[in-house]
Amino acid sequence: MQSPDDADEAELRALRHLTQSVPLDTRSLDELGHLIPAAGIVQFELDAERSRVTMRGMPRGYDDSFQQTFWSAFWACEPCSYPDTSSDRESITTLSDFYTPAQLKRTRMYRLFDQLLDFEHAMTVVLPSHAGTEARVMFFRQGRDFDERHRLTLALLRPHLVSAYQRSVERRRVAGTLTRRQREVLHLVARGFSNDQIAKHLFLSSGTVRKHLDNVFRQLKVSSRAAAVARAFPTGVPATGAGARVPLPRQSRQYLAG
Amino acid sequence: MTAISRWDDRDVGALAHVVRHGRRGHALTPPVLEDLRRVVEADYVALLERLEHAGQNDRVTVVTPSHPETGTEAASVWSHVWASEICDAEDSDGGCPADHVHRADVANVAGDRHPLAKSRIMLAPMRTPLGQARLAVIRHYRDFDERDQLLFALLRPHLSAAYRRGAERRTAGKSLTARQRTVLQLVARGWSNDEIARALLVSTGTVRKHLDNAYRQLGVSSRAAAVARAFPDGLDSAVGLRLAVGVGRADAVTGRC
Repeated sequence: MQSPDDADEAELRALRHLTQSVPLDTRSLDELGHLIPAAGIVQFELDAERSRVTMRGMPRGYDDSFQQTFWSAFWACEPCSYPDTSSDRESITTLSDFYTPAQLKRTRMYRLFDQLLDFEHAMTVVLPSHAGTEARVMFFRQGRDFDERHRLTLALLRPHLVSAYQRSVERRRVAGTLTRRQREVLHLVARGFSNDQIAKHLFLSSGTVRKHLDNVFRQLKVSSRAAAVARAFPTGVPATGAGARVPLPRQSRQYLAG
Repeated sequence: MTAISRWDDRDVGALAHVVRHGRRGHALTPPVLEDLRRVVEADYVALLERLEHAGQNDRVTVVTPSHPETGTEAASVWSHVWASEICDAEDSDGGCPADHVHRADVANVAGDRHPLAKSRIMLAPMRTPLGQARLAVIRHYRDFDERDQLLFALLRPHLSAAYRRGAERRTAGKSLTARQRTVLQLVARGWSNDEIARALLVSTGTVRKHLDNAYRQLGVSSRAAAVARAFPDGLDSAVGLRLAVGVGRADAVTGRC
């Protein structure tokens, strides 16, 4: 059990983090938990066409059949489609704004998520982006429902979360503008290759490799190889990206073997 | 400010009031400033405005527990707040990141004898396309601690949303003539100058002139910017117009076929 002082310190740390200009990440979700106690906090991201959903903070993956079930349930689920049907993206909503507990349990969306996490109550904040994608941070709970204090706390945080989400979207967009060659070079950087090794693999001079990396650093606004890799591949280095398809010449296989 | 879990009903009510004002684009009125003053436990709150568009004087709204007051004559007392250094970061909320919330020691700027010399100030810059404002939260003796500063940072986007939209509405509403507004409402619906001219039974040149004047008054250079500036809260305010010109529009469309 946390002492009141520890809880206070955790709250301050959370406020400090969430009011700073940082992108919305896993840490943000953790910190939100110190301000709004919940059994689970999940960040959903809906694409602009409302045809793909991705989730951060969920215990299980989301394959094609999940996508199908999710989207067929989405438009029938009032609290889910409310921001799209009403264009009200500012309100903080709870499931109990829309459904009684009995009604909730009859929805397909509930049955889909009931398999993944135990919950009776949920509170949602909607974070739009200029690109039309949308993040939703959902707080899940058993037992007592969220009250007005929780709703107010989330409403106070919302502009900061919107900025954070928009920063994430912008970073991803910039990462997406890298050229194929820049990505190839970064793939090899991610595998721990030196500039000289990369130059040999790609039949370039090491000056050219350096130039590619300089451009990447500038575009991504970073100053180290590790930061560039992290920024360019925010969800991990893809195993079969553009760079991986490049057949490695013989001497590089020797490097790898050695 | 106390921890979130210890907020009492009055805190919750006051904070909710500030959030609501930001959402609805109501101006930062003395009652909202008083709510802000209470939750950050300040001795007083002052809103300093410097609106450039009409050559207006600085305007100060001061809110104390005993009485709110507004005036231009008090502005000179506040000149040092304009002079104090403050971050220039332009984020989406028109303010600075939280760690730049500036706490100016007035004595450095205005000297020991200044009435505010012993006060502690948290400042939030607010920018609108029409001018600048600074919101000052002031305590006479006790310094603001980190929790106070974080709460102020948390509230700032809500306060600047209220300020920005309130200021825009005030200015846009006053400066445009009824005819200019009518033309802009049609522009907002995507009509061309020709279509507007036919609907309003005037020449295209007149429509262009109305728009030129509206652009100048709003300080913009494009149709889209003029619409955004003139109707900061969306086009709902223009609903009444639809009936009045509906017939003209139909004619205009038929005439084009």
